[in-house]
Amino acid sequence: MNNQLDNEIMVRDNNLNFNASLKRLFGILVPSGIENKGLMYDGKDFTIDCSDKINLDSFPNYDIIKNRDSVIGKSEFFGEGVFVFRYGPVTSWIVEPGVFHIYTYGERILGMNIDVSYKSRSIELKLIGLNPLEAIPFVENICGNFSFSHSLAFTNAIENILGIELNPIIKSYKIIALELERIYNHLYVFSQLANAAAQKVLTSHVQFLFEESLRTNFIFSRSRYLKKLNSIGKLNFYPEKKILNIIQERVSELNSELKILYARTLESKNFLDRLHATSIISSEYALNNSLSGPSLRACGIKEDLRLHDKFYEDLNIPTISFGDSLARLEVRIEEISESIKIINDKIDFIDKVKNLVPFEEAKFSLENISGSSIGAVESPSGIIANYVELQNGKIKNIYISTPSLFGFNAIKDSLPGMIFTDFPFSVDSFGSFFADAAR
Amino acid sequence: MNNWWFPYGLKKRLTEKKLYQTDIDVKTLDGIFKSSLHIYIIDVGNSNDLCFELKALQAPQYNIHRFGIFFADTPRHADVLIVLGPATEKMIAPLQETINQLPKPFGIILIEYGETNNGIDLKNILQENLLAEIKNYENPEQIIAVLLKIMNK
Repeated sequence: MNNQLDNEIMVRDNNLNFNASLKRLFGILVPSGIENKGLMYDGKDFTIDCSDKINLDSFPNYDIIKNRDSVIGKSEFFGEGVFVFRYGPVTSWIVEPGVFHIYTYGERILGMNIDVSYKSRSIELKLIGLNPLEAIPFVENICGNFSFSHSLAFTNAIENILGIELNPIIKSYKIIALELERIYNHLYVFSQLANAAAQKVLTSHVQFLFEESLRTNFIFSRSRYLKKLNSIGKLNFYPEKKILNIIQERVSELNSELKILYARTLESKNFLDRLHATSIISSEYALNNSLSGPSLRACGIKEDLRLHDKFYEDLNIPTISFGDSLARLEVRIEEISESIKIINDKIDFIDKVKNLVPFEEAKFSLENISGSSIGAVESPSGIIANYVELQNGKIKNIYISTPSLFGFNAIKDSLPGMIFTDFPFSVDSFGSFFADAAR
Repeated sequence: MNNWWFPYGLKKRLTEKKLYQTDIDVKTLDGIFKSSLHIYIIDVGNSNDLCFELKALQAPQYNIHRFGIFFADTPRHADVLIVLGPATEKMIAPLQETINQLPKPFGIILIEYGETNNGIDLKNILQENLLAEIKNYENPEQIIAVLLKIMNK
């Protein structure tokens, strides 16, 4: 088994590296007066498809999006000894309340449906009628560990409506916060997978780095989850040079420590064997079902919203073609190094141009502003897209597309055929959260 | 590189020596649970950052096992239930069932944090078993301080 594993790991970095221009369905909108229009993504831009030629029902993930507030999946299995094992909403492994209805005959998983409704807080409904500035704290609390990504997608949409062009320094601060969020989320996934594989020493060391990264967030933003930092066209405050230097030191230290840990991890056949070939996703499936983020890049597809952002220079997007839990972990670990490089570059940039470029925040008024736009962000687990309609400066309609919905759908479709002990490796490797999926 | 984990783990000194204190009002359980405390966590609808915080509480910086604090895998093995709120309506029944499963005597700590309150007052459900309520959550040190106060340490 170990020789086979070695051989397969050697060919894992055979990247497909193609840019998919396929139109994918990320959401079903009901904008005022128009019904059932698709929030579409073609690998570069988000659009709202209002043409009658596209039949939304023909998209494989149409039903999943339509029923996103209840149960993901409609599996049913019958046969001798087959029963439904209900895991959740109160368990010690997955603390978040959600229910996995698993069809099994005792060992192998035959199929599953995932109920996300226990975590539903109807946040989109609560946002209607609010001023966008009042809405930001609610948006941040959709999923606490993606709070900056969610608020950034929302403020991007509002900035598009207002026609605000961000100052390069403000944009750099926002990029630093976004990358800090990516680092701690990826470390969380790493620690969960290490824990699932009973690698206790590794788990402790990764948890150490995870806690240190949360403390770095606190130094940067006075919040361990980067909350109350982002605003429309600006940040609520800007960390000083002294703080930025501390951030640089801390992330560099984290990087060197992580490299040692990861090198040791790749030596552990026990660990690799648990993740290898677990919950394989094909690139075709990933594209057809709107998977994004590390889970998509682990299928060999080089796609990232940051590639189309002129503020990211020389971005290295890691991809691996194998599509299993190990590939998803490998992509995440490589992304941490890339995020650290981006943070260092942006801090150097702020340091260099702060006295050269006039540091001005955009002036705007939300009074009597009406319009609609889309804001999208590459969060740690994939694309968060917000469609926002404003009427007289208040939110009239909002649709939030989250990566966890598509992640849970992929968990549901990749686990059949696996055995029960593969379950945590599959669930944790996608980095999907009930708070994010249920909103 | 020596790839054996054990010496790598031993040579690091990751545990922090700190005095954990809090001003939060805490009830104790009449002098029991002095030497060990088993906790079970239930998330009734928080925005997931508190779930992350409880994972961070298990980090070696805090090394909670040195105080005799352990996470239980089932409410039937727990002394204290930590409720992460605010709550969604659908989680009220599972919360009540989880409380029914706790062996007596037991205590409950309520942590509510975030903007997404659905207006559900959990105090009516938790009643006299509520030992502490953390409204302005800061970091895992605060939770350790509350747990140590319950243990009279």
